[in-house]
Amino acid sequence: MIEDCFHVSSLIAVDLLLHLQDHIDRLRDDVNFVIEYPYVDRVYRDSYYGYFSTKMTVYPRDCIRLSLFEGILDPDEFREKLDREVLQKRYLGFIVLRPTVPNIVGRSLISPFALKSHDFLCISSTCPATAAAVKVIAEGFPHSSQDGETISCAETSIWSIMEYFSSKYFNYKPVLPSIIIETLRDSSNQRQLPSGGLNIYDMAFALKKFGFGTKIYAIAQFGEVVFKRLLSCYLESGIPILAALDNRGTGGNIGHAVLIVGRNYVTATQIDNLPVTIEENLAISNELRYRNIQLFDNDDVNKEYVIIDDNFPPYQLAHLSSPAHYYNDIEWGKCKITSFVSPLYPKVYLDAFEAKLHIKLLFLKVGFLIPNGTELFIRVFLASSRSYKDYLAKEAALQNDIRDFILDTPMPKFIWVGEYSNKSLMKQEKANGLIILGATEPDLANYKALVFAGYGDRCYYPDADTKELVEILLPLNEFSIYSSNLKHY
Amino acid sequence: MAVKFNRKAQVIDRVKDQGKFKNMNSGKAGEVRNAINNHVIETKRDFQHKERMSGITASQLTLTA
Repeated sequence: MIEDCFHVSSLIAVDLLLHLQDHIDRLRDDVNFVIEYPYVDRVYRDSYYGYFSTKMTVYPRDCIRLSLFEGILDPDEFREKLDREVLQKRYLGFIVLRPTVPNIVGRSLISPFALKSHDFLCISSTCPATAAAVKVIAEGFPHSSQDGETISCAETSIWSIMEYFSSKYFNYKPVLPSIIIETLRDSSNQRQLPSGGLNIYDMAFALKKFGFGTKIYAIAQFGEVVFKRLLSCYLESGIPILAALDNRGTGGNIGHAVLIVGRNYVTATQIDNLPVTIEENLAISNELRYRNIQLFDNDDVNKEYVIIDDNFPPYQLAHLSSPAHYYNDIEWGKCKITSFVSPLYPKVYLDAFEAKLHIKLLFLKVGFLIPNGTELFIRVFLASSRSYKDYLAKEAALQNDIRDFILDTPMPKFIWVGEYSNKSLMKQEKANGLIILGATEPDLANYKALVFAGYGDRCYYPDADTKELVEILLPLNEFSIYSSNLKHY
Repeated sequence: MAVKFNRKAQVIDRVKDQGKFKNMNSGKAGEVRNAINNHVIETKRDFQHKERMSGITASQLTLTA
């Protein structure tokens, strides 16, 4: 079929099938396909009309679409025996094959449930699709391989981020390769086609133009430990991270962009083995030492991250210490993540670095009775106040008055949440301390950002009129940790 | 039937009645606030330093691979 549709020789078609085999091999054995041709793919058509059609070489303009279903398929299930609900349950996404030899895997949205191994948590979005003319909803994280001419790893990552956000929030629109090129036209020093890639600043600039309040974090700014914590913190916030990795530190010349969209499930053993956090901030480390408090940071857990790499099938797993280990190549093995872009909602003025420090400081200073020698486990993340309140409304374990109190408290669209617990509680996915900061307030003085703080037998909040802190003696109780930012597959 | 949600005010009234409500505007609370504010200033200074560094520390390597 590839031979006929993409006008290639049988020899090349065999090579392409071998390339495609890497994607197919990761799928469960009971996954079957609906194969459709011709399929008009909006991303490839954009590249086709803007670039491939301007060449003398003739490129086909149509694609092949593979729709993935669980179990054996019967054509009648799409017609006479159609049961939409059953079909939707069995639907596991789609892969578009485009005639850009050898990188033929185009736009795809594959459910992690389609994979043989999917024990991880990740960000995902949905996209309306059809299979044999029947409407279905695909779920997963958008992926595409680079065609090497109109889109490199950098453009693919930007496209992927915009596909994700546009499907979830009305503030953002999906972008096509030509829109990325147009957006960077005035800031580009040289021709943009064929693509020569982008640097981290170009990528951050494009995302800013597409409506984000982007922030760049570099390992040289923060040092390796804090850099990794910040990356982890943003990921726990459900934000896809655009990471730049290279091997220049070892004299290499590889530069690559990937997306980090999830992590493995943290086991009880990983929590048990977590060492006491090394706090670089002097005021906090002195306070911890003086009061003999052992602080463990969720962002220090040595996790495997879920990576969307346009050179590989989606959902690769890798530790931050060897983010490209799956290349099985010495030079790629030396690659490190040296910077990342966090595409934030524009009004998230308070960044993770400051929010985390402030949450730790408030907890230690504000007046909670924390006995000397206490073991604390901290987890900090960004959440939308809408989702967080929805979770609180359902969280029956939280003390009722406290729950009503927080639910009736006005909050900005995004909030920073600090959950405190200890290792034992964390293994049960529970916490017993809570600090909420408004993410729109970067001025942290005089409790301006504080929304609510609670631990043990008391809670604190800033009075709306006097702006002074108010203490109320109500116990928080143990409650389930917030887990809506990443979906467990 | 309209349901009015004003439970926060009810909670505050109740804890006030029970004597479990305290405005933290005493001398000690002022010290705590000042300590936090001083730390906020230091953190901000540290962060702004790191921010200024970002222009020269993030690699400008073109990502193509």
